[in-house]
Amino acid sequence: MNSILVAAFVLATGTTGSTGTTGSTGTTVPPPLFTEVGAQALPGVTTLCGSPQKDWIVEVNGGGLALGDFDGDGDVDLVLVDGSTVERVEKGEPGNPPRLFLNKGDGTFTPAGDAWKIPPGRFGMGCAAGDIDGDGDLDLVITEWGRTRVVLNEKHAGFREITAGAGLGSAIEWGTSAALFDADRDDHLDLAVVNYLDFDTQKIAKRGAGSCRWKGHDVMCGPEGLVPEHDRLYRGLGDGRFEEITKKAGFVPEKAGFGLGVMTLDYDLDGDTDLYVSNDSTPNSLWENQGDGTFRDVAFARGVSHDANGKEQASMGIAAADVNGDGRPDLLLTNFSGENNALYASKSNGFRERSSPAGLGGPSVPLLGWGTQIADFDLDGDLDVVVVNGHVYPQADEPGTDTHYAQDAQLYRNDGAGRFQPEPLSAAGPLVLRASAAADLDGDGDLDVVALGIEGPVRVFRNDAPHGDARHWLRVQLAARGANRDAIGARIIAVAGARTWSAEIRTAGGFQASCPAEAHFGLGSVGRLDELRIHWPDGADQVVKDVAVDRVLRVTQEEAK
Amino acid sequence: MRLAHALLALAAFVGGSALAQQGSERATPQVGGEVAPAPVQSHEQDARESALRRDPAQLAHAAPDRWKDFDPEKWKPEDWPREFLEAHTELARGDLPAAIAHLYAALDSEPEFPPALHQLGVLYFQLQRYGDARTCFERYLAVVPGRVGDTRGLAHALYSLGDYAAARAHYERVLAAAPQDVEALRGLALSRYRLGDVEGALADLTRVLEREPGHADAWAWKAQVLLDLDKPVDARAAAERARDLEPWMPRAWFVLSSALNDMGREAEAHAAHQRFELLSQFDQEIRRLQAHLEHEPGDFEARRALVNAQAEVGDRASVRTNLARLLADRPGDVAVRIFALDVCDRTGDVAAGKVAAQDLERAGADSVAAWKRLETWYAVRRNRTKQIEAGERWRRASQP
Repeated sequence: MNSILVAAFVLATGTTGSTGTTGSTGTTVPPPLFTEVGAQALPGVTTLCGSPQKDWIVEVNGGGLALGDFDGDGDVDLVLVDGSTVERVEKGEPGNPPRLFLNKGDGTFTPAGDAWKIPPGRFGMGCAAGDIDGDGDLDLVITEWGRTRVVLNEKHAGFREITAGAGLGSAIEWGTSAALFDADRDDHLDLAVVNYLDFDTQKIAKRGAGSCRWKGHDVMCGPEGLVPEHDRLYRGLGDGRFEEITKKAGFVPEKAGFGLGVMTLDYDLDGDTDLYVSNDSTPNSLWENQGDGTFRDVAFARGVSHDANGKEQASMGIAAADVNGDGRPDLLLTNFSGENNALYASKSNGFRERSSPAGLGGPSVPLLGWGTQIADFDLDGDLDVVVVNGHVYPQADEPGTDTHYAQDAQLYRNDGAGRFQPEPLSAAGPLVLRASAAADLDGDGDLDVVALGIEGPVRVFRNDAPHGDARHWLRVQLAARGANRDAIGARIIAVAGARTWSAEIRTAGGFQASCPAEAHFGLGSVGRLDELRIHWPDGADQVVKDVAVDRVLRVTQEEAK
Repeated sequence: MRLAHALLALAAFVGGSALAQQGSERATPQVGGEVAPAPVQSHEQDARESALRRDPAQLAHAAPDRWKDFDPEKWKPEDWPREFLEAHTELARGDLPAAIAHLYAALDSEPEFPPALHQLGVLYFQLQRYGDARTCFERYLAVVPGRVGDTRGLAHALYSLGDYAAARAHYERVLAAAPQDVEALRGLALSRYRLGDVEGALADLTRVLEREPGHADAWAWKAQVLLDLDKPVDARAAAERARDLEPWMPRAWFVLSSALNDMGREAEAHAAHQRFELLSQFDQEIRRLQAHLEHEPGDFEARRALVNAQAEVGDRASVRTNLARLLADRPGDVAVRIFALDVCDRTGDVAAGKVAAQDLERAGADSVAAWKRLETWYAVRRNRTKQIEAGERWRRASQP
């Protein structure tokens, strides 16, 4: 464990080496796997999202974040997309600007210098990171209740906004999540922007007018009864600019949904990248890539549009990974309180909801989930789940709601047989969290989690997983031949004897978040891999033999034969 | 009314479909979320809202053993707390918040009066306040531990809170005391399903359907379970039974489409999907209106919209229930009675239409519009005598 973070831990909790507490039944309860060290990692850093009492729906999503190596020094930096208030927007005043924080190398951060300053926008929401101009560094797309913005990274030396000429149009829409991926396999990253609804304070009642009720309580209005906005798809031109291809690519559902999250995945293993979009209170979409960058919504036929009851859920965050070990990605959706989080397990011709048998259903019912990640957080060789929670209504603390505004973030540990047991993520207690992303912030091989509150301090959950002979790991970064340098869309299979682990390279983080373009494998007692099989985005296959673990492995694509 | 009958009537409230109604719990806009004038707050509304803010865990306890020998059959209606009877009156009017206010008053005057505790649990469940429902049922069981057979509502509440293991355990307790309780058996099946015991769920659902072959929701669940067992042909057959019993139920079409998809019958699956989509839209609107009406039972326009939505999908039983409420709320209102007749016409519910026509004749004796509508109604029914009579009344009423 890193010494500086140990010091931070002491400051945060007043103790070290905790071995757990004794429960009421006399059994020893292990300490949480994570420690919340936001006050030390990002001292004084807060975000804003409207009024604390949440009079309008635009005030409840919180901001966004991107984790990635923006300055090219090998560690994971953090971009925060901050919000504003409705009053400021109505006065024509800018919101809080997005900010880059550079990793000192130990999981603590410092504000980046002036060269990295991004001008303030209208009311920030989410972001996606990727090398959109093919120059070898991480650029940014920022969603807002406003215009979608493009910010280029100038060779790891600073940011330059090019929104005006980026080809994304000038329409004021409410973009939530975005994903960068190579839809048409032309080696340039394309862009999907998920939109929520048409928000206009002149057309929607403010909370307090008695117009909208939830469990008998007066709450902000929406999304039901409001007008959803269609999502958008743009083809990347390779130089930071885009052209809209929403209609041309068939990326238009029969009815728009209240879009909140987006995930890239190759669900049918046909080598191209598909998209999954989570919608609030409307059916979710699975956009199957037809191989040429056009799409068809197959969510219903594949069993991922509604829950097992045939009900549309109020879906928020998305995670994708191969939980059931069949080589295909499974999907985890976080949902509104009163609904369970949904695990859609892959099968040969689609998915089947397996939330409850997996233990992910029941415990999530009272909670309202947002950001979620599937990864091997305890390094025991199987995939666990992190979900951060928090209600949209401060009024959830009123009588009779069966829930609360602030809720525990959760770790669902896999018992190795595909059944998950929930536990608090940390000892931080209930929080009102929204977007989250996971990455190895302190370089110790396990995945830490950054989560934004609806407002206030940014939360950094340091992973304190024990390391050793039964807790091996491997981080794999790819360097592809072409402009899609980070190989977004590549698939990696790790092999040790009869065991395999698979992962996809993506930066899409589900809900208003972006994660590093790398694969993380928790390997348990496997101390060496027989091979890594890499399926590159251009269709080439490559095998790396006899792979040492407990390190960051960077694989460069072989030259074409 | 005998208490046993009252409990039976209450039990019907926590009936079969309630478990499957865990759809979106998002806020329900009163008028589509658009700007609307603030509602006028009356004294009665204050009392209802104040009751909704109460916590059943804070209710006073009775003296020890106060209800030890409680036997509902020995209680006469005149012995019941007055407020409990008034709660029943409000319940008959469909005003759940008002009924809750009276139940709290009953429990304040007669602490832990078992029927009031039980009924409060039922109403909280109806309002989707599952934690409060659980509290009420648990307190009910604490004071009358021998009446576990009345408490499938507790298991329903545990299920709705996501505690499937506790729900399963309590369903088993209920069934041990009341083996004939089909809804408890169905709940047990669903709890097993949620806990991953798919075979156990299938066995229980089969038992439910042996006892009640017309249980459409149980057929739909059986279809879902069969799908999970990779038996799409059997799933299809079960889904078709559900669909035939309740063709307005989106879930039946949903599972049917899924089964057809798994069988590779894409065109049929697509057609079932289209039907599901249409019904699902109405279902969402119906749930939104129902949730609103539970708190604002007197909102005439909302109930009228609910009737229209239920008529669109052909749910005659629900149409009848809500039409009856509309007519009761507006005695003598001719326009409402014409609307009722129109709805019966649309849904092809001739039996209800006959009653509606008679009601319109009485209420609209001097109304031009009433007789004009009745003339058409009887013409379509080929009732020449009544058609001529209505036509004559229309012409007479039309004369200046």
